[in-house]
Amino acid sequence: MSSEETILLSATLDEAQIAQEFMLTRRLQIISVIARVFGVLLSLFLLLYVALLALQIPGAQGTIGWIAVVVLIACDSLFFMAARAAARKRLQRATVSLLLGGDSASIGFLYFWSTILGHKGDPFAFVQFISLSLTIILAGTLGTARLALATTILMNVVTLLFGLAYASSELALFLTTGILDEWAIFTISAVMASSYRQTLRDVSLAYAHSRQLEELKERFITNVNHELRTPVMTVLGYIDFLQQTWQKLPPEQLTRSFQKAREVGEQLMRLIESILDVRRIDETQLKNPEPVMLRSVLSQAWKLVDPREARLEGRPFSLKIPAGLAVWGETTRIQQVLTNLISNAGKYSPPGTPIEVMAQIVPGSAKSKLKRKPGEQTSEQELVEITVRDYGFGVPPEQIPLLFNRFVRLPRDLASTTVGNGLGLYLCRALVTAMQGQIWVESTGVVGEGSTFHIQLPLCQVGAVQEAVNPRSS
Amino acid sequence: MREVTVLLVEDNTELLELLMLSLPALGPFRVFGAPDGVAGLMQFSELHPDCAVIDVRMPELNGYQLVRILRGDPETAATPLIILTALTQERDQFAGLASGADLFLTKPVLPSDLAQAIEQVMARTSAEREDAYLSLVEKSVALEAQDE
Repeated sequence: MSSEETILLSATLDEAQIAQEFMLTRRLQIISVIARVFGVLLSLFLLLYVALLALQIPGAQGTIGWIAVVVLIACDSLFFMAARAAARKRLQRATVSLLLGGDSASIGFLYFWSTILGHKGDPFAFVQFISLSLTIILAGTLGTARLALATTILMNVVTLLFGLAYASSELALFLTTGILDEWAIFTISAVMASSYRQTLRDVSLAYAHSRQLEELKERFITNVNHELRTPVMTVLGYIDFLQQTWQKLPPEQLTRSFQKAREVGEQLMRLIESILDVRRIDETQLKNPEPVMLRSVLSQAWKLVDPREARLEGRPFSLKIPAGLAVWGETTRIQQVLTNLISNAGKYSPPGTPIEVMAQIVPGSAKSKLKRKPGEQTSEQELVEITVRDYGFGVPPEQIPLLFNRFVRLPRDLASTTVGNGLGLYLCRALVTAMQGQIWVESTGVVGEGSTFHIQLPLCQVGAVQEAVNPRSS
Repeated sequence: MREVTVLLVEDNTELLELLMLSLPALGPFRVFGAPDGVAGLMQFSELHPDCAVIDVRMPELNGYQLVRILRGDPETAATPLIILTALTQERDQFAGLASGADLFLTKPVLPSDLAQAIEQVMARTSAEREDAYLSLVEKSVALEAQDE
């Protein structure tokens, strides 16, 4: 079997398994609701019937009546057993219990109708009477649960009128059995209709999500393909050029060509690494946070920003980071996040406009899930908020929720020549989250007002920094 | 051999630098560069090059638009134009040729291959160019009929 066939086969098996699990959940839900409602309805009937028997009201027949009670209690127990089995995800047991309970109760009621209520020789009247419920099924199948409910109430009224006209001596029992049946049918009808609608909703949502993902992937592949081809051509071009001309090239041009080829090669490597990082970062959680001094990590991050890509030349920079301010995290990850944000600030704002980076201590919010670090002396609520602000094109507010997703580039950027692979901000979010922090953006989408990216990370007190730098020997 | 003036319109500065350096070393080329479509159009009208190599995704004016403008002007309509792009899909290629380019090259292309391609389009007669365009139109009609 070829590897392609193996992949196809495994995809088919996965699909079958997904469908099977989906159907199992749905069937268990249906059984659970029907069994509970049937159980409650039958219990109510039993209470009323036992009361009638105890009070020796005409229509409730002595010994036969008490045998019927035992049979119906058994049916009721089967309904509750079915509900319990469904809750424990035992589909077969739940199905068998519900069917057994339902069948026994139906036979019991027919017996009840023809024997106890005195319709001996006329069991067909019971069938006629059941047919009133067909309209409820129809309403549930074709309409909504509300329509089925209205139809059930209408049929209850019909049953009531019928009872008043023809069954005066056994009125209470007649009405109870009739109305009970109609509500049982309503339950089945409403649950099935609701389940069907839920299935359609789930399937259509899953389909829409998968199409959206496919589209994003398609756009991403096209984009990455485009971004990779130009540097690949440049590297291969220098090799081709050098191969053909190295003997006649002046030494300085030879050196410069090698240097350029290497630079573009490194640029290509960074692009490939950022694509590969996505998979790696998905599987990585930070286990041992370390104190990270923000000023030094920012200066490292700044050096890694490609000055031409970010068009840094001639821009006013404002850096406000208190000396000694530190956070818990990992140096390389924070550096990567800051490099990305500064690079974006440059890429998505006109040359010459300012870029501001600030950091300050802020109280932690109740929503923050930041954890206290081992040995941390400070309050667990204190955080450091780092902001990177530009005065560029901004992000339209309706597109902000998409921004930190994988493969996403804004429509405006796709139409432009701004280099990007739709992974930078996704990586930032993954890295910050791995360090127990959070990241978000504020922007009005108005050109010139730009964007402000906020990162919150756990504050590391100076004492903890010194402790980490000079650990006492134990 | 007669010197050929080539205008390169490419927004990637590294690639532009490489081609401006390598093409003159690989053939009788006098090379000029423009970093976007508008600059390309302005340089074209000043230089009147013998051939232009044009990228597609560029700020201000994209490659297809530039090719269409050049083809629409009787003074520049006959100049051989090559599209050099990282776009790889068939519809991109079709859009490039339909806009009036003589050749559609997909990156990566070696400088020596680009030099050959320039010589190849320069050697084409106007009858050959017309035939190529007509066959493109026929292909498009056939594809549309197939789709229907």
